[in-house]
Amino acid sequence: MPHKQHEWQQRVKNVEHEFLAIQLATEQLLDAAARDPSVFNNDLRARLLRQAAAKLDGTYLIRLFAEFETCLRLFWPTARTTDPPSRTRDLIDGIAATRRIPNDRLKNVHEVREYRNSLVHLREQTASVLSVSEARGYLCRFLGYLPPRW
Amino acid sequence: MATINHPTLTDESANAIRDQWLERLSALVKDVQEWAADLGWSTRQIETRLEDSEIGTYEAPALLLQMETTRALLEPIARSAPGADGIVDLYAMPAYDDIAHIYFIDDAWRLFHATPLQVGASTKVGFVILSKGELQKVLEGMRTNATQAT
Repeated sequence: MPHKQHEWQQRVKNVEHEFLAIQLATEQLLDAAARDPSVFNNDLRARLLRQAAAKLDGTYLIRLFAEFETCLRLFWPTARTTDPPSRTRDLIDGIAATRRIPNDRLKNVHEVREYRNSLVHLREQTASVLSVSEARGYLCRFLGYLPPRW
Repeated sequence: MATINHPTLTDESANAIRDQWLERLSALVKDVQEWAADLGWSTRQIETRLEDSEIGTYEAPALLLQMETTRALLEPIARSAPGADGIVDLYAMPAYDDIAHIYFIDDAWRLFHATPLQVGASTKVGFVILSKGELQKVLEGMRTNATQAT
């Protein structure tokens, strides 16, 4: 696992790249199917693809956050010389305090965490809906406060 | 997510392709570094890791650019794509926001303002040849946006 700020930002960005590629491919395939339903040989995959496409943003937002959280858990022992807390909220707050990360940046990351929680735990939607690119921006800005390498 | 990436070409041809791509990339990084320095930006070359299904995983040059609080990253993305023999992105950092895509098409680096994954013959219209003047426009636009955002 890398111990460099930029490599973790890059890993988060790479998830967005994968999302954009899959989104484009899905849209193209659904367009093709709309013009010619026989591309799916009349099986059920067209319906499944539509379901998957509808959940694509959420699926990749969960992956974005997983990369971010892994980075923070790896960084924590360097910053605090203890094991990282189990609660993600405490992990984020602890690192924000150690690195003196501005409150607006911290608030943005909690918005991503809350939205991710609403997706993972199928909670009633109370968190703000974020796009993959918005979430990537918030997470990468926060990671920008970690040291270049640790 | 860790992946094992075995090159599909023989060592000899993979090395030749990689060397040619790295040479092309190094020339671009050198040009941008000189132009940016002339425009008053400080620069630092870094190494970034690329994964390629045909030639394996390797390190390639990237370039960090900074003027006051505005930071940018010129980062190689892939050595080939449909219609292009190399893709490099320019990002606003630390958020990793897309600013421009730079494609190697018809023996020249061409700049395209960020709308991802649209490379191909039908979209060449939007490209301009990368030059010091075009770089200046992009970097100045970035600085203006950064000022307006704060």
